[in-house]
Amino acid sequence: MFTKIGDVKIELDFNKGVFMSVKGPQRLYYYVIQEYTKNNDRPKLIEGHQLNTTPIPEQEGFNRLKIDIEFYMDFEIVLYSFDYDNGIIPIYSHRYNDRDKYVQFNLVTENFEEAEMWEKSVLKYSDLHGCQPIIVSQFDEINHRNKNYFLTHHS
Amino acid sequence: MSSIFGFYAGSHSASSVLIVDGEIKFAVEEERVTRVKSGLQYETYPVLSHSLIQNKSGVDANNADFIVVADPYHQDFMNKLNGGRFESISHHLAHNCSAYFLSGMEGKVLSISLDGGGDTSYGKVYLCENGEMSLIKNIPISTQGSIAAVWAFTTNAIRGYDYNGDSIWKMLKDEGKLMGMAPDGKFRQSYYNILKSIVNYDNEKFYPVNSGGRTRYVIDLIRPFGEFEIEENLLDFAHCLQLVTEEVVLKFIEELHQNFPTIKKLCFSGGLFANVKLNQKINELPWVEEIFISPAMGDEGLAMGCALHKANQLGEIKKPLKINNVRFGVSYSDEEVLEISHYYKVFRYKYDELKIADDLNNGKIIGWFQEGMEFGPRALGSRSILVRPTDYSTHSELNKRLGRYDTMPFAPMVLEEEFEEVFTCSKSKYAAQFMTICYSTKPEWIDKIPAVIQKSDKTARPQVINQENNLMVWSLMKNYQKLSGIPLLLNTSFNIHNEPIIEKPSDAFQHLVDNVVDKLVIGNYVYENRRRKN
Repeated sequence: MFTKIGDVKIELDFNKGVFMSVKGPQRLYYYVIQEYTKNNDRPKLIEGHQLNTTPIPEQEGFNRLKIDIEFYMDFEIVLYSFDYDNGIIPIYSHRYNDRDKYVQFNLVTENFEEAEMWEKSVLKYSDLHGCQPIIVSQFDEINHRNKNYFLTHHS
Repeated sequence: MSSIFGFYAGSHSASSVLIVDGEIKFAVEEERVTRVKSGLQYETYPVLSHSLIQNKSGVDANNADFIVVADPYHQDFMNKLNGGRFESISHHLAHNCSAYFLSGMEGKVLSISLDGGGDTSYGKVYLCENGEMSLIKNIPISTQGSIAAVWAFTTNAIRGYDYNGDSIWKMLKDEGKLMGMAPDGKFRQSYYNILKSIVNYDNEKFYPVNSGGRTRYVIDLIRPFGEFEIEENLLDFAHCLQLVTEEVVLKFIEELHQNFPTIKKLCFSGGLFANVKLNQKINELPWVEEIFISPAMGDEGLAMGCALHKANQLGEIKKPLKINNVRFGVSYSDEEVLEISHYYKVFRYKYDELKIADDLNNGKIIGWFQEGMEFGPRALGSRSILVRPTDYSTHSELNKRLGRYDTMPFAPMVLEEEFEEVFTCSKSKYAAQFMTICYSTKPEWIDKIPAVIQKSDKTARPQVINQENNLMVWSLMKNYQKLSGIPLLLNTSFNIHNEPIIEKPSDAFQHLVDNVVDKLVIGNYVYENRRRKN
């Protein structure tokens, strides 16, 4: 996903972890990743760092944010630039969560009891984060107990 | 009745404290023994401070009844003590105990800690009464900001880095330099806006999060273009930082006051309250009756808080103590000192306070080494350098001898009976015994004591001296007053720049033979450099 805010180009990708790179007129930008927990409109900081737009060859990596964590929670990424007269100002934010989204969970096990245990975890997660779970396992009984997706799209 | 060891064994400012039967016996900061300032060395354990206390008291952690440590701590170190049998308490509970239980305050008190982050909080507020403390507010690192972190990261980044990538000024060590510069700068709208975008306070919340990261971002962005190589810019930035600090903290305190309007006594801890100018502003709030700041307000004071907390739990300290001094270090007898002196080319004679008062009046720089070393960042008449306060040229002479280059003002000692004659506000004199608050100087005194007054805002950071808290210094000052008419002396810490305050007599003798001081008073004797005489 590419976005342009004025002359700042932002590349975002959430497919394999969180990836962001920024190209713009400033040498440094600043970002925070924060998480919204249930029933709380005050986000919790996960991390906040500088992003260098003019990477030093020996320090490759400072010019992009890459976190090898798959976020299924309710999180927000905010990018800031600096203005000499006004300080740090937000220029872009992107909030991602599973709320009301269909999320597929693959239960990779041949043991029915273990699959049922994972099913409980999935339901607990979906209750917490408000997503519509699609459970895919080797057991039709489990798959059909959680058939929101199929009811909507296949029945 | 019991023996309690308190420790702080975190990433910096390690320290050890021993309380026996409800009495504070020893309190020693690790940096004083290692001789490397805490801000210059991280990941130190309180090994040598514990040994020093053990040697003098005969009690060590392995046979103490209780060991208490503040979070966060090094597990490896703690596991080695007493078979890993210890208790831990939260970082900010320890801070608040170090303030409240030394405050001497009776009735309801609000105890407030603010720092750059300890375990999961930037600060906590406790409602205290009759030796009991109830948590009423927490400032989590994950959702709020910290003004103390702004000071730390500004200090660390504003002067840039050397070729090894080490910062020129160090966080946890050089914040006072910025604070000392603040009155010499002026308001600049852009710097003010920048700092308010880094940290602010509203609706019971410091915001935004990650103040330290935001500070570093700003400084790293503008410093490489020479922004702070221009002295005026540096002074103005320091000025605005102090202004924003006072604004946000006073707003926070006023909000607490609205919630607890009948409570008019406040005590403070955490590194932020090393800021004596901020403390002055709080003390001058009209509704405030009294404030007290933990004499070891930084993380070095956590060991004290831990031990006091346990003593309170055990019922051995039931209500806040009123202490006369913080001379909780190890003391040395005249015989021990004489033996050590043989390693140096010095000679000694009996102490005569009239003669030393005369020396001070004549501009001599006197090293003063008495009893146990102070606990906390201030030299309070145990490991001090004393000079007359009447001569502004003292600044350059002392800076030369101590290797200082800062614009930081020196601080005075003042006789308690003359305190209100010299300074404008008379509140919180107990706290001023520990040199933790600034006061404004009365106009008629400004020209008389220029060496101990901040040259722009005419404030001073006095230590109140009376017969109870330091009889020997009080008596010397009385004699100096008879000669000069001045009830104050300049008191600076006994150490050269970038070193911790001295602990042992040998450190003092080294300063004498290096001509840092003209004379050295230890115990009942005066020592002079033999080479100087010859």
